[in-house]
Amino acid sequence: MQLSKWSRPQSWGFLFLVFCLGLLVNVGASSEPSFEENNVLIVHDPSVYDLSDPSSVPPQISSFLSELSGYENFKLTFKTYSEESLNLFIANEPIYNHLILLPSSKKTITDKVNFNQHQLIDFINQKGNVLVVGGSDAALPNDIRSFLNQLGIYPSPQHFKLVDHFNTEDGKVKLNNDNIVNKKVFAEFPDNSFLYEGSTALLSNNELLFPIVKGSKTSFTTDNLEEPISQDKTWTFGDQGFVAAGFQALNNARLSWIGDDSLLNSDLINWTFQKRNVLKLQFVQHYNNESPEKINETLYRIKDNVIYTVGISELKDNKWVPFEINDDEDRLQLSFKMLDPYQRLNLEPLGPVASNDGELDATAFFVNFTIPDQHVRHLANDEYKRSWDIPNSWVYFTSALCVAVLWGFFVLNFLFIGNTDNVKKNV
Amino acid sequence: MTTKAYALPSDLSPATVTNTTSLLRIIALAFISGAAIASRLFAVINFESIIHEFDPWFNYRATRVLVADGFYEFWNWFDPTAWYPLGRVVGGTVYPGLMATSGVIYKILHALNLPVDIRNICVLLAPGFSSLTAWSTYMFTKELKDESAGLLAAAFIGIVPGYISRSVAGSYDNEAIAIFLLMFTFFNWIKALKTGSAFFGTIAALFYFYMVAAWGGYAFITNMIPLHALALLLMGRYSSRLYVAYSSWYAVGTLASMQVPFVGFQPVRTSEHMAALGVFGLLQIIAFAELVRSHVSSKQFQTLLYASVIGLGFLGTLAIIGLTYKGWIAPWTGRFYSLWDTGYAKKYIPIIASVSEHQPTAWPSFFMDLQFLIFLFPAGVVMCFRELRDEHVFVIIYAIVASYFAGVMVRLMLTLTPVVCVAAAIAFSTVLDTYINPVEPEAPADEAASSEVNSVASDVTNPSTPTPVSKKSKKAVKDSSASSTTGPFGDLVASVTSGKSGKKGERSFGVFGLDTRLVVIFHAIGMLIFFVWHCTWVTSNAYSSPSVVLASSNPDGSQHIIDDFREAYYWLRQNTPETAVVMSWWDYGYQIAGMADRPTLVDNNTWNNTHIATVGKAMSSSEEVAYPILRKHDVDYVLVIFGGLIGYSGDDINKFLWMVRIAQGVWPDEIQEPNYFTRKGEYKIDDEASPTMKNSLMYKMSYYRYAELFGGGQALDRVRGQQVPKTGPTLDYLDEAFTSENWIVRIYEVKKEDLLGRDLKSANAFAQGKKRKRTKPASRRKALL
Repeated sequence: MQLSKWSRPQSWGFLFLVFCLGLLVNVGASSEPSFEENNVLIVHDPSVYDLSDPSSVPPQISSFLSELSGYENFKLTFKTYSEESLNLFIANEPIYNHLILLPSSKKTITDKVNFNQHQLIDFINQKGNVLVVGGSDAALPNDIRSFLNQLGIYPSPQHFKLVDHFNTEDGKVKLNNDNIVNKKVFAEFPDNSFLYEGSTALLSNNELLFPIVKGSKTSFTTDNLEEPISQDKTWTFGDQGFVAAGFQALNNARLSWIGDDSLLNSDLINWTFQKRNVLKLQFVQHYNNESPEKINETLYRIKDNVIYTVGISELKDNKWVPFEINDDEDRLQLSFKMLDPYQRLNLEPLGPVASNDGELDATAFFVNFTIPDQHVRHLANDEYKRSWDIPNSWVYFTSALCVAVLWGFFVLNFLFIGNTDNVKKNV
Repeated sequence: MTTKAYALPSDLSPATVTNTTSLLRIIALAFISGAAIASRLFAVINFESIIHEFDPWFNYRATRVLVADGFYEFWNWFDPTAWYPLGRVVGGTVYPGLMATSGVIYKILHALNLPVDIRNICVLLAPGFSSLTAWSTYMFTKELKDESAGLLAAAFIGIVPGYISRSVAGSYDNEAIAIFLLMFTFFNWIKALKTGSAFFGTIAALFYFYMVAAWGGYAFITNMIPLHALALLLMGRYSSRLYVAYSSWYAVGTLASMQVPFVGFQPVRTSEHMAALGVFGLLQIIAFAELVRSHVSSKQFQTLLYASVIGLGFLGTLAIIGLTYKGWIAPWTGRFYSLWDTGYAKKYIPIIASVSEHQPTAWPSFFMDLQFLIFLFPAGVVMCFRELRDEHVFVIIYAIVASYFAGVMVRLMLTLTPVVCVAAAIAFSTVLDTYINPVEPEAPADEAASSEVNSVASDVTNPSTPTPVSKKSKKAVKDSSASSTTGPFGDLVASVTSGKSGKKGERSFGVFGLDTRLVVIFHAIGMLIFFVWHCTWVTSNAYSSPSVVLASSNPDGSQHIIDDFREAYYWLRQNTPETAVVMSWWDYGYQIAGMADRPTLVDNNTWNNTHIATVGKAMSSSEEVAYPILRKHDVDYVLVIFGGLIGYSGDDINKFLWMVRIAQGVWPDEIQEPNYFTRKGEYKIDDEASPTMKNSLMYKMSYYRYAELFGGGQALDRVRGQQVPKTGPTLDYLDEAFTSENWIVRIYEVKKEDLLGRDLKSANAFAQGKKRKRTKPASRRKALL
């Protein structure tokens, strides 16, 4: 048996896997996410937001942009959808780490060759993070919609907006903290209430996709309030409609979609751009309890008692600090599997440790378990009990010894006692 | 004074004659060894020093481990790369005799400062042991008749194709040494039985142990010797010689055989070994009864004794049946049943039936493998009936049993071959003896008259027994053979010399004359020459192909080597990570492990039917069904063999139905054989092929982009002789990674899951722009609680 490196879940026979159940975290993949230069591309439509004139931009957007530019190492680039060249890649290498897509009034993008649905998918595949901002009046270009559809996000078309006749204040839908589905990404609304006006989306069953904020139970999405409600005229009903959704790809690239710019908050931005809820597997160590000097052996045999330890750090304020599990519902688990998991065990915290030198930057978690009696390495012929250790064998030892001794007596008897008689008889 | 057909030199002392004949015998044996080894080297000369076929690749790999890590490590070897992810306990599931033999030879040669590569030892082991087989067959036959028959038997087995097929250079398989061990164990058994010697019984047991360690076919010996002993008992030939020989063989041999980990407690736990145990018990009872009989004279007591012997034997049989019923003794295995019912395997164990060498033998292959020996064989068995000493009974039983088995399974032709050689040699040497022997039968008229008188006399006394005649004639034969102490070789020398002198002209014609003798002898020599010619031809043409490397001939007659297998295996070795798991049909498992050094899902050690069926299911299902199976087993590459381009008929499409059948055995609801046939019930790969067939992974991988090769023309599959559809299959979950020069080996890489969580089919469709215009999702997310 061999231990897998985290990101390569393949090994001989059994393999260990660490699971973080219920944690929307990103384990060790996008290494050192925010320590380096972060290039951010912001694509916008000047007819919706003229970013060159800060006074014309809604306060959420301007505070969002100022927050971004205030981040260490963040370098912002502004481009418009009608730009002649809107490259995301140079020689198949992404130019940007993060991408922000603001709403547009047009349905097409000028540089369709370099900026289209396939390029956006490639961007995610190359670990780029994306923040998509929708809106009811200014929707998204078709290519971006089609890209979102591939992930399982189906935003409502232009002019569709969320309506709730039972929960309206100032012509906007009133949402409260109960509408927040994922509190890890989006903690709360200030004062437990939020007036929302914007688009919604349907979400598919994609396992990597999760809702963040849902619409209220009595809400629906439509573009025409005059006519009676019908299937054709509406996009969502009730809490089927979501106003914010998150996505984390298998390579840990993140994407979030929000139905309106008013939902922008720093929690969401930090999550999307990998500044929080990022874990790193610093080290893995396992050894047989009976021979602790042999670390990370590739083969274990059945009934071995194994101690398995991992060190995990969490990113906080651009620093790796020891990871702590705060939520009672969260568990860090070890899965020991061969074709099917044979054991899934909770890892218990051991305390902060230093992963390389100096600082205590990781928490060690460990579990002590016995390798199940399945097709792992068998007992070698010298690992069984010796025959004399088994009491039953003493019977056979005794009888074998008796035969040997008696045969000796017999020979002595034959040679010395019977001899004289024989001579006499022969004579 | 007997008359002679030709003159023998009379001035030779008997000592000279004996010395010369023994020298000639040694020279003859040396030449036979040379011929046996040389004819097996065709494979090396035509190709190269390479390990052949499938199983030898595992044996070779295991031997390398043995040599590199020592016997102890080998004993405990757990191979995590085989049967991924289960692994294989190699030390406990292997007959280590072959590897140990090569290992010992390797160590000896290196101790003598002869740095021979282990591969060359493995390649040349089988030819080397074939000369030992020739020698042990000589010893065996000598016990039955005489040295001249022994030499003939040795010459026969040295070059007979039935044995060569399993022992050419490079055919590094268990059978390579097992036939030598078989014959030598039988020789020792015969010897022990003849002399009543515990020493030879123990030697037989030791070689039996070696045989157990070397080949699973040891069960043949385990049942042959008890069968012989039982036959002798039933014939009323119980003797203390039999008792000593059998008891020493059984006791020592059984204890020794249990030391082989793969055998373990089988000798006392399985039905295959119960015959030996039963006969052992019977012999003890009979021996006790004989002892009592020799001390007690009462007639009634003897009857009682016999009754109790029979009763005890009966009770013993009942006990064995009862124990089997209770599960203490394992019942017969499926492999064994398939020996009695040839349809059994096909019905219940398709894995066994899928192996071509487990098919019933076709009649022509008897002639192909044995040539003229096959019709001398019955004559030889009849000769054994004429003598009918204990050892002849053995040969008769061996002949009957082996003939049956060889008819049931092609591979068991191998066990028939030695007895055919022995029997044919007896028959052939009897012919030569009769016609070379210069001693003419004395006054045949007189003999006939006297025998008539005798028979009349015996008719008077005992009308039903013609025994005196046969006894007398037998004695006469014995006398005549005894008188010619020189043996056939001396006779031959003598005949040449006498031919020159050529006296007594009136005797050189007629039945006893030189002309008849010469005709028969020349005819015999002609048969031998044809036999040698046939053996050489078969060996060089049919049995010397390594099957890893194929040969065809160019239009100008020169040899063209097709080396696709090694090309592909080396591609895997050089271009994939060491941990990349390769899935293929089990036939190629050992080769991939041996040549590509990559983990495999299944291999030729077919111990886990479910695992093989899993591979069969993946191969015979559609991509969507197969993909989760491939991912679950961490498969990185899938390898298929495709012979359609150059007409290599042993490819995977031809084996495909077996994959379907084996998978059907485990998942009858998901895989059904009839779905792979056309509506007319034909197995086709062209436009008419059934949808299930066309969607199966195996079909797709075989014919992927095949039509493109013909540049728009009609693509032809040269094995099936069918037109391949012009629009070939598409693959969504696999990528073509490598295709060998002649398209024999095709390797596909299994794609990783889509990073965005889509299924690969729709991801592919999207990437190719075949987007379905849909703005709303079909399935709606379930309401969250």
